[in-house]
Parts: sequence; C-alpha cells; structure tokens
Amino acid sequence: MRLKKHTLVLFGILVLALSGLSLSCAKREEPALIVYTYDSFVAEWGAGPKIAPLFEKATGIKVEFVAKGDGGQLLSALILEKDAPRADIALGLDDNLAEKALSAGILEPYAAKALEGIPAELRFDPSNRLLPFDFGHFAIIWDSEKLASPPKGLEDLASPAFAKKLILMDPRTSTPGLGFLAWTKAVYGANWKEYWARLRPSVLAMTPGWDTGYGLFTAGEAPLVLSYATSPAYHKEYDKTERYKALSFAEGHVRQIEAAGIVKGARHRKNAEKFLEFLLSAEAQAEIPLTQWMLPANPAAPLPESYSAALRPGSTLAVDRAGLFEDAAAAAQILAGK
Amino acid sequence: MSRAGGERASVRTSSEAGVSPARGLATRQGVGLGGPLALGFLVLVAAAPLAAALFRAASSEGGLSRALSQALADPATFAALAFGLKEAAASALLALLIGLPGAWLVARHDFPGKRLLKALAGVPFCVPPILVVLAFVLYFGRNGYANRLLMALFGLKEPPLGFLYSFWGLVFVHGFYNFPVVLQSVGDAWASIPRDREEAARTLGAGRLRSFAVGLLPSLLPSIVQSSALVFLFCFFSFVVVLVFGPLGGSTLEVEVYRAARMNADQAGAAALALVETVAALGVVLLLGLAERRQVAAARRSGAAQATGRARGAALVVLCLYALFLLLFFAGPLLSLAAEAFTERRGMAGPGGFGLGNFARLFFGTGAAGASAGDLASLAAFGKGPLLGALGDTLGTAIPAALLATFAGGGAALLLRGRKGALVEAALSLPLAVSGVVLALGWSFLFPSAGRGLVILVEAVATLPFTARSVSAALASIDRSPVLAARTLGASRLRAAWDVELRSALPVLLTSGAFAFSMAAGDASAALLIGAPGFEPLPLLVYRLVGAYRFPEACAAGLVLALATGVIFFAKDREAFHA
Repeated sequence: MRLKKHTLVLFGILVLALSGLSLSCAKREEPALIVYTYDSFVAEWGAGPKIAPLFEKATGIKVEFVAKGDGGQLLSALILEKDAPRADIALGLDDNLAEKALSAGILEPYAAKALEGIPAELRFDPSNRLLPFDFGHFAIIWDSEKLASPPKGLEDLASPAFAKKLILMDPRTSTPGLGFLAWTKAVYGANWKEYWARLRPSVLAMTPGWDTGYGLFTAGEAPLVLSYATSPAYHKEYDKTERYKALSFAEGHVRQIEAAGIVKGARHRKNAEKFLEFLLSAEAQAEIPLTQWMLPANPAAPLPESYSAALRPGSTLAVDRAGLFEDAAAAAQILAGK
Repeated sequence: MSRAGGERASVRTSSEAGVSPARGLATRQGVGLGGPLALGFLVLVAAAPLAAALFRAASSEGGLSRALSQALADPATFAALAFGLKEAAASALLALLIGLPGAWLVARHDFPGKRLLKALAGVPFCVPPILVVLAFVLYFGRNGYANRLLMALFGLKEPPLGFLYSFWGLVFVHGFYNFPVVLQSVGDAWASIPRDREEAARTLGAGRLRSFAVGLLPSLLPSIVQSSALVFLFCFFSFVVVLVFGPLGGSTLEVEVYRAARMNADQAGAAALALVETVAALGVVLLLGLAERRQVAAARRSGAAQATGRARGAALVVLCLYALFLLLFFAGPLLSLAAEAFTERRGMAGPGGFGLGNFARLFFGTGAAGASAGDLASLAAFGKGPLLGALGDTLGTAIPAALLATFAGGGAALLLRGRKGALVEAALSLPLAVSGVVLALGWSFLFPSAGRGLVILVEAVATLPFTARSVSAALASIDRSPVLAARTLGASRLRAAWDVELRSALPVLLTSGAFAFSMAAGDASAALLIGAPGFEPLPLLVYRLVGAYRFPEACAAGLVLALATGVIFFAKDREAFHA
C-alpha cells in the first residue's frame, strides 16, 4: 500500500522533528555571564559579536548575549523576571526608559572604576545603577543632491519652502520620534504644540520606526529625515558618499544616552562587574562607532576616519522628561489636525 | 503574525468543500471526551496569549477593571477604533473590486498563468510589511519608477502622483496587497457552483444580469462576505502600512496596544486595549463564521460544476486588460523590490547598475556593506555570510513547526468532525481575532526565557488553529461512504479511518502543512521576542538589515524568503491539482 509508506514517512518526519525539538530544549552548559540586550546589539554586524571575544580574551569569562526585541521589550522582560532573574546585566536601556527602569527596582548600583573616564555630563544616574556606554545626538539629515538649501533650525523647518520634505518618526512608537518631541519641548517650552501645528505641512510621513523612515529617505522620498548626527558617517564608511549631511541647528540638539547596569539578584555579580569595567574601557569602546553608529561614552576611544562626516553639535539641550509619553499622543493628534 | 495565514487557511475551505453525496450518511464521531477535549485544547491554544496578557493585567496594581475603565474612558481609544474600522472597510471594498474580475476569470476560463494568479495569495505572507512599504514606495513614491517615468514623459518638475501618503494611499496599498485573498476564495467557490440554476433562470427568460443575480449571486455571496471579512481583519490589524501611508497622526487599536506595552511599559493598559481590540475583531470574525456556515450549505447543492474553457472573445479582452492592470499596480511594486535586490549603487538613491553584490555580501559575509562581488578573495568564504545560516534556521524551525501544527491540528479536527454549532465555530474562529501585537505581548509573558525549541513550539501553537480550521473544513466535505464500506467489510474503526480517511485527507494535510510552513517562515516576532543566541531566521535577518542602514541587502534577503515560501506554495498547488 502506497499510502502506508506515505504515512510512515510522515510519522518518521514527525518523530525527527520532535526529537530535534527536545534536543534543542535540552539544558546547555550554563554560561558564566548572561547579558540581556536589544536585538541589534547581537546582530552579526552589531557590537556584541565584536566585544564578546575581546572580553573573553581579557578575562577568560564567556559571555552570552540574549536579545529581547527592542529597548521597551528588554525592559518588560527584566520586569517580568524580577523575582527570579536570569540576566546578570541589562544593556541598552536609554535615558528615556531610565525612569521606569529605576523605579521598577530591577537594577543594583555599581560604582565602576571606569566611570572616572566617562564625562560627568553623560552620567545621568547618580545612583550608578545605569552606567552610560554610548550616546548620540538627534539631527535632521539632509540629502544634498535633492535639495539646494537646507533648513537652519527647527523654526526654519516649518517654513513653506520645506512643504512635504520631511520624514519624521512617530513619537508614540519610536525612540527618535520621542527624541524629536523632547527636542521641540526643550526649544519651545510650553509653546511646543503651536510649533507642531506650524510644522505639520512640512511632514511627508511619520513612520512607526527609524528603519522605515530612513528607508523612505534613502529611497529618495524626501530630502530631510530625522535620524542621528552620526548617520553620515555610515554613508561615508560604506557608501563612500558625503551627499547625506547632518544639519547643525543653532538652538542646539537633544541627546540620547544608552546605558547598562547590573540586574538585582544577579547570579554572577563579580563577572558582571568585570564586564561593566570592560565595556567602558577604551578597548571595548573603540568597537562602538562602527557597530552601534553612536559615539563611545569614553572619550579615550579612538574614532574611525569616517566619523569626520558625523556632526558634533555645539550645544546639548537639557530635556525635561516629565509627561513626555503623554505628550507623544498629543503631538500625533496635532499632526492629525485635531 | 498579524498577517498570518488566516487568509490562506480559510481561503482553502471553499475549494475543499466540494460536493459530498454521502454526507447524509455521516455519523457523529468523536462522541465522548475526544470532541470537548479537542475543543478545549483549541480554545486554550488560541486564547493563551490574550489570557496571559489579561492575567498579567489582573495581577498589577489597580487590576484589570481599572485599566479597562481607563481605556474605555479615553476618547483616543474610540478614535483609534473608528479609524481602524473605516480604513479596514475601505480597504476590504477595494480588495473586493480588484479581486472579483479575477475570480470570474479563474472560475470560468483556462489561460496560461492561471496557477500563478491563484498562487499570488502567498505573497502577503512572505513579504514582511516593511518590504511591502518599500515596494510601493520604490514604485509609486515621489521618487518611484512611476513618477520618474511620468516626469520624463511630460517634462514635469514635480512628481505628479502624490496620492500614496494619504488615506486613499493607505487603502490603495492595502487593497492591492490583499486582493489575491478575494480572488482565490471567490474564484474557487465560483468554480464549484453548479451552472444549472443560472441556466434555468436564462431559460425562463431572465436577462444576463438578472440570471446572474438570481442564479449565481446567492451562492457566491458567502464566499464574498467571507473573503472580504478576512481582508477587513488583516487591514484592521495592519500596523506599519497604516502608520506610514495613513493620514499623519492616525492611530489604530493595534498602535495603541503597542504604545502602551512597549513605550509606556504599561502592561495592564496594554492588556485592556488588547481586550477591546480582540472583542471588536471577534464581532467581524463571527460574521465570517456565519458566512462560512452558509457557504457549506451553498456547496451542498449538487449538480454539474462550472465548465471551464479557453478564454476567447470578450473574455480574452478582459483577461488581457486585467493582466495589464495587475502588472501595473500589483506586480510593479513587487518587481521593483526584486530590482532593488539586484541593484548596486552608492547610497540607495544614487545611480546604480545590475549587480549581485547584495547577494554576494549575504552569502560571503565580507562584513563591509560597500564591498562588491569582485572584492571577494575566494569561494572559500562561501557561507560565511548570514544568509545560508538564516535559511537553515528558517527551515529548521518552520518545517518542524509546520509538522507539529499539521498533526496536532489535523488530530483536533478529526476529533471535532461532525460537530457543529456556535461553540465549535467560535473555537475555530477565535484565533483570527487575536492580532500580531497581542500575540507577541502574550508570548513575552508566557515564555520569558530563551530557547530555539521554544520558538518552534510557539510557531506551531500559533499556526495550529489555522491548520485545525482548514482540515476541519475539508473533512466536512469528504465522502464518508468508503469509510462505512470498509467498516462493513470488517475493517476496524481505526483501520478504516487510517486507510480511507487519511488517504482522502492527505491533500488537505499537505496544503495545511504548506500554510503553516509559510506562516512560521514569514514570522519574525517569535524569533525576535524569545530568540536564542545565534538564532537568526530570514525574517529576523531582514529586520536586522533594515535596522542597520542595509536596505538593498534587506530586499535581497526578503526575496530569498519570498522564494523559499513561494516554492512551497507552488509545490502545494501542484499537489492539490493532482488530487
């Protein structure tokens, strides 16, 4: 009977699949250090695969990176495992998520010696539960081949000359979007809503994340996009072009700081301390620019040549994060014309 | 998962629900514990993520009721609901308008490329939403092929087509993205409807239009309602497309759930919004269930099925026009995505030429996005890049997940066969009402620790309700008389089921397996949320590539993903063809 052979084969595959499943579920060797981070950190071209072997060479400790989606999902995962933490280190919580992370009580302080080499302005958490490892300023990127004269500041951006020329990210769903909102709040104070209403005609699209927005920009949909001041360095390094430029705005720029910390109840506390010291060392920090496309927190780390294309803003604006998440919904409503 | 294969799974039900002369003989099987157990199992599996989210909310301070009353008191919730209903209704209507002529063509005529046209329904699976957005942008965008052509032709300074970034642009993208669902579902139903009623009406003197309205439309209506309800749901749950192309600042419930969960770390609020969203979607799904039941009734009318013939005359003209239309509006964007994958340029918008550099970097892994194929030292580096590993990871999870889902789903369907009623209907429909963001939210609560095996399990669990659904629909139409004959001839019940039922169910099992494979292969969220170290299936690779400035390579990886799932669809279609 042909049918029997057929079913036998099918069942054979099923058995194979099940055994494969159980094999992959089987306990593996327990690593000496577990770092929870966001997804792009562990990608092949991310910082994780570069830093792990260096750390192992320096200390003999094998580190395991576990990707937990994006920054928000990383925080959720840490809060969920609060009572029985698997992670020793949380890496990639930025200053927007800091308040929630600190008040959730999921982190332990560690005053790393390496912090001495980090500029005071980056050390946003005086309790030393979140240690800054990289940072970047938000900036508008300009496609110099598509637009002759770029805007000079936020107010200029709202002028009719730039109608439908700007791609923003949604402050309700993305970090750069939230950063832009913080930027406008820092510059306009209580009048930020009026500014968003003036800005509305300039916005072509507001994308849910940085990836889609920057994709539209490089596809030539609009000559201006919200991104990081370091974005041009990528194009110089890999596309060998300087057509994309970060615009320096006279009123100053807002900064995003990414941090790492030791998880409360970490099972490998000593190794975690060694990792944080290493992460902030010039050796590990030198890997940051070409993997994270952010600036290393440690100024002793050398910058690659392509970073000459990155913008170093003259002044950094202080950000008041109170009510920022609520204002994101209001900002979207203004763009919707309500 | 949001776009996952409800469409495919349910779409098949119409074609599988053939005419069964022995239906009257069908006995109730699975009497006893089997049926309720299977039912409970299906409900549990479908509702688990939502239940996990709700449980999480209930154990938070203030509890679920406070979060729920907060969500219901917020006008933004209703604005998002209203906008979602509006865009989904408009999108479903457009998909229907585009799909119906195609359904008529495939039901009544034979022509080259017919199988390809029906297999198009696989496209939405294997192309991740962000690539769909880029596809339409590359083709219809301000700097897209269409606008550049028009500007060159008419010497224009500004791009003439600016509709993409508006409500109608959003509806346009949704409509063209989803019309194959309507085409396949209605086309299959149309092909199985006996022609005699329509002919009787004509004989009795009714005009062409009237005979269509009286003889055909009543039997066609269920599949029309069913497929447009499905498209409605997918558009209702759409996330990236709605935010990019929709009116500025527009919001849907899916966006609100995402915002509460990821940006605000407000798990109770997210769960409450997820509940509102699921209840709203369930309303639509019940409409769908109702339509499906009527469809089975429609399929029961026996008689000679539609005869197909070569398209000629007026039909040939319609066919050519339709082909041209699809080429311009549907194939165009997808082909520009493929073109992007084979283009090398300095900076994505810069001048470029044909090249295999994107694929070369994915295979050889030079690490540098700027390196071209010529820079590669030797073939020894083959496989150093992320692509082969990603393909392996995709096959290694999607195949076992599809097998598990097919066997478990088929088993549940077998236990449930012969059972009818609102409860069964609801159990089989519930999974359609749980959106992608809600699934991801629930999974992250259910499975916080990492593991490759867990990804397989989650993919299997997520696709299981869909396989159960399509196998169940197919079993309902299988001729039972050979089983009864075999039993009369002395075969044991198990033996009869084994030899006869499995044989008749094999094609649909293979079909469901193919659906499950595509759903599992195309889903990034499970791998993203509970991924294991070094585990990178293709959708995750695409996600990481677009997140790292590497859009052309993402297009190339997306193309490989589409081909991997597309091959299965073609194989599946051939199987169904021979069966």
